[in-house]
Amino acid sequence: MYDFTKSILQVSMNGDGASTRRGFLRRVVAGAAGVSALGFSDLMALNADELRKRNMSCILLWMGGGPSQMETFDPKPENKNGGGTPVIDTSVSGIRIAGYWPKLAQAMKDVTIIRSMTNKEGNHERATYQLHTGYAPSGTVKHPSFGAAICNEIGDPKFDLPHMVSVGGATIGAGMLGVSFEPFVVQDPLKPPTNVIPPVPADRFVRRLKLMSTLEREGYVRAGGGDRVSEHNSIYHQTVGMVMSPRMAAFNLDAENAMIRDAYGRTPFGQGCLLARRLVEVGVTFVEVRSNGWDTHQKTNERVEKLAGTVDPGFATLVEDLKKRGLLEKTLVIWMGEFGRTPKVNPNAGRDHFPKVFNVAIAGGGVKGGQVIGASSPDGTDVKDRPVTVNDLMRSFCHALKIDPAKENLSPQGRPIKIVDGGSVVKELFA
Amino acid sequence: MALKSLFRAGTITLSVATLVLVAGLFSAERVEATDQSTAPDAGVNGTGGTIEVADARASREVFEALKTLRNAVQKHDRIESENGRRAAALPRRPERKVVAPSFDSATLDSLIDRSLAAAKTEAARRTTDEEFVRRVFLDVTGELPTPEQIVSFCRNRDREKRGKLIDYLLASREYAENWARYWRDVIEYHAVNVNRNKVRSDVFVSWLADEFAKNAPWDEIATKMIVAEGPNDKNGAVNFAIAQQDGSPVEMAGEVSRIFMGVQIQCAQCHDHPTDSWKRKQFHEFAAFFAGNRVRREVKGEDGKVLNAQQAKKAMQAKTKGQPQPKPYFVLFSQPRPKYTMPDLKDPQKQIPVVPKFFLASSTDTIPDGLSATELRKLAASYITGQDNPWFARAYVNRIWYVLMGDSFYNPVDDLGPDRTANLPEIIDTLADAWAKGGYDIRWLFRVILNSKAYQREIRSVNTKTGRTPFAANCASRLRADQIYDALAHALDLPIDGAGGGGAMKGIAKKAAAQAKRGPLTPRDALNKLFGADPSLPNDDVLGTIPQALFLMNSPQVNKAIEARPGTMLGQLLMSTPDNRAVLEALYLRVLARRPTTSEVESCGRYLSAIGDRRTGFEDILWALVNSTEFLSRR
Repeated sequence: MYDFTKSILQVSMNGDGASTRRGFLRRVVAGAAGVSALGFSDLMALNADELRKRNMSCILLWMGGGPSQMETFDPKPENKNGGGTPVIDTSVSGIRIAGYWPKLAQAMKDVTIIRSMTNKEGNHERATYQLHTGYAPSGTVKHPSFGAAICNEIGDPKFDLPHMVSVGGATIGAGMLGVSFEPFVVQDPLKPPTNVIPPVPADRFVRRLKLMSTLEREGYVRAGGGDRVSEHNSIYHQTVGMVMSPRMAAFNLDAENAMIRDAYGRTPFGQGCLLARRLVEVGVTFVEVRSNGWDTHQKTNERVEKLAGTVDPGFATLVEDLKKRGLLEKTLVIWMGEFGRTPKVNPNAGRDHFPKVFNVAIAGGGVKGGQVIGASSPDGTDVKDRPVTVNDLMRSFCHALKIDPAKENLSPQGRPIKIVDGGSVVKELFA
Repeated sequence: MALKSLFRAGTITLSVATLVLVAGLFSAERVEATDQSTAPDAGVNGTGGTIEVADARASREVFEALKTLRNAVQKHDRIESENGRRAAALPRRPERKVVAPSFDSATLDSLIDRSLAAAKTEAARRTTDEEFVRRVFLDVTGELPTPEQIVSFCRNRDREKRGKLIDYLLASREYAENWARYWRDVIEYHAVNVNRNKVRSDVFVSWLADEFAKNAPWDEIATKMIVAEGPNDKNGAVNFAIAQQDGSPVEMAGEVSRIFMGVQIQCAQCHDHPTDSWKRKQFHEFAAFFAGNRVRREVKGEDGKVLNAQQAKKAMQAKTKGQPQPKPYFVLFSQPRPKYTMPDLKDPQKQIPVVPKFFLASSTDTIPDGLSATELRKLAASYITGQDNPWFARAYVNRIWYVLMGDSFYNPVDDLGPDRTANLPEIIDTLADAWAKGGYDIRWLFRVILNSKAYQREIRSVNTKTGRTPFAANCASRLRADQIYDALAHALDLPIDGAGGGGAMKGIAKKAAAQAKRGPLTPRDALNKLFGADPSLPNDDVLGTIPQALFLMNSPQVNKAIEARPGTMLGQLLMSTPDNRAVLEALYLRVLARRPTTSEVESCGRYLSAIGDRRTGFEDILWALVNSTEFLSRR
């Protein structure tokens, strides 16, 4: 399962760093040609609604490594398992979260926490696969990630950017759904995506493409390769459409004012959240923003405090910003990782893998904010109230995005695979 | 057994490695198991240096260790005597007999011609020498022929030259490596190992290439993969099992069946499959053959001795102190008496014990209780690769045929049956049967197919009025990632170095190498990540991707190499060749391995005069050729 590994390539392709930011901007504008006179927000107004057929989109904030529930949104200040983590009040009375999350505490009116997530898989790769696809990995079927599955359902086929973008590294791919729904990987939100800028001026780029198409017609098509040529053309067509699309301007974060950029946090994750908002605005269906380093076997408090320093402003500002722009209702925002961490603090002041109890946070997409669903036991070792399984969660995502979870896709062997198999909607989310 | 003789010699000189091994097995060993495990046994050979016992504390420790050893040896003796009793009860397997096949390319063609006549389909024309030489180079060696090779082959008047070229290529190291990489992909695109860094693909590929180079028969090679044990940095074959989640019975059963027999029995893992005749119980009976595989991580010190857990941890942290960091490797070993159970569907808390049984074996075959994991795997391999199992030969022939012909009897190539219908089943059955009886001679099979008229036909578009008639023409397909890598390096004259990477291709892997935990990522690996596809997928499902197109269109690596400046292929060509027509011919020969057609010459001529600047014009032409469908196709 190649997709488990980080996309080494995406990094390496940047190797030369040949394109400067300034160059990127200039070319994007040149590529946009006729439309360049319009501002970014004008473009959005023109296109966003017409492009998203059903207007729903989803942003997944992925905490790779497994975030500790105790140091995030299920602190246990009264118990020794709490590990001395500070606790703060939020804008919703009665809901208290770990003190490392002051900005999210302010945004709590729009966020729901599920504290009773429960699962059995404690291995990073397998759990990551499961939390992305709703299935355990298997040699027989390459399950599509949830993101790819929803793009398949609601992404506009005529859309000229990729339906799915992963910011900060590669993620679980489209599997059996095929290349059209593979996530487009943006390694660093501060740099233009890899290889999107033609190395020659736009007119010469177009001349090259025309020459290629002429030569293909005269050579390979006549020699019997017509089928292959038309497939190849369709990929090139899509690719060129993307390279020349005015919507590529969404990747340019310089178009945002400095205050909003500061609010998101001038970190790869914070700016990744901003990029996610811009992509969703122009019609991208699914964006994953990845934060790594949550596998805190040592010094959990210290490390989560540091990580939260980047994720807290990114997450909270994203929710507020989407709301201000009237996009929150149409955008489901999910914060989660592959599992939780052991309630008991280990001798290295860390916590180990613990799938039995963990928490997720959800906002937007019609989810009622300002509530906590389910509870863990006082010492955090068990789910006390209202267990929620991975498939319950996946089914709830489908509900929010108005997708039928029972829809079946066919594997290459002709096996029907449901988007979500089993589970039931967590109704409280939508009360 | 080293352990036993050591103990019986009655000496207090102990094998250090044995002590470490025994201690490790009984205490800290973390067993990554998915099946029901019995306690690990000390039935492991110890090798290594010896120590003299010096003081009282040490002698106490040694005494304890000896006690442990004695117990282990006693247990081992018990097992061995049981083994002796059991040997008689093992199912009798037919002996392998080799009959030189009378089947040849002409037999194959007569079968195909008959089917074409019945379908009233006209076969495509024979390939030109140019078409043939590119195709056979790519299919056999994975590489493009050089312009010199193309020209000299086309000029050669020898009537037997195609057959001679086939023999020459099949004898090359490139053939062995190309096909070893193909099988690496077959395995790795389905592997569900939880930790990808564990699988030593490089060791696997060089092992398999050696097997292909000496033309080891396929049943031998398959058996080696199924039964392999030991360290995965030394025994390449063991990486097959490690890729199956450390030899997990369920994964092994599914993949062994899919890869070596084209039978998708793993679909029955969870429930009886509606369209397949395999039952859930049969799947688990097959999986029971693969119970008891265990994998442990080992690290060796500078003196070549295996380190204990603490030493290993220390050694792994050595990099901070500027010392070389040792490479951990993984050892697959077997349990003496593994037990396998399957979950009870009615009661998820319950496990039902399952006795191994091969789903194609005769119903009278019973497997005696208490076989070791090694014995069970050997028995499974004998069932799978035996000449009495037609699926083994069919699956291989069908796959190779698919790669060479672009179309096959069964598609997808790893789903043959028993409930699938084949195109022209009489042809694959006859061919596979002859191959099996002939002792699974791999080069023989290649020669029969490559020398046939059917292989040497031109390609034809499928979108014709009549649609596709099997084997009336060869079918174009997309090159595999390794072939694309070699083709790019060849077309743009980039220096490549398989091991470390060099020249312009280096840029692709520069940063990636820093990230890779184990060893540098080669440029080839990096390109494989971008262009790789599961070779078991139908060709029609293997399409390009946007990042691939972006790489070829826009990447600085490709575009720098395309530029006509001193030091590049095009720069040198333009300098040494004043005539534009000659430059164009040389470019086509190098990139597409053929000369341009008249209309291509005309179009390029028009383009050059419209652009005016010779260098710019040829850069654009080279860009167009490298980005073309044909460059990425086998035709």
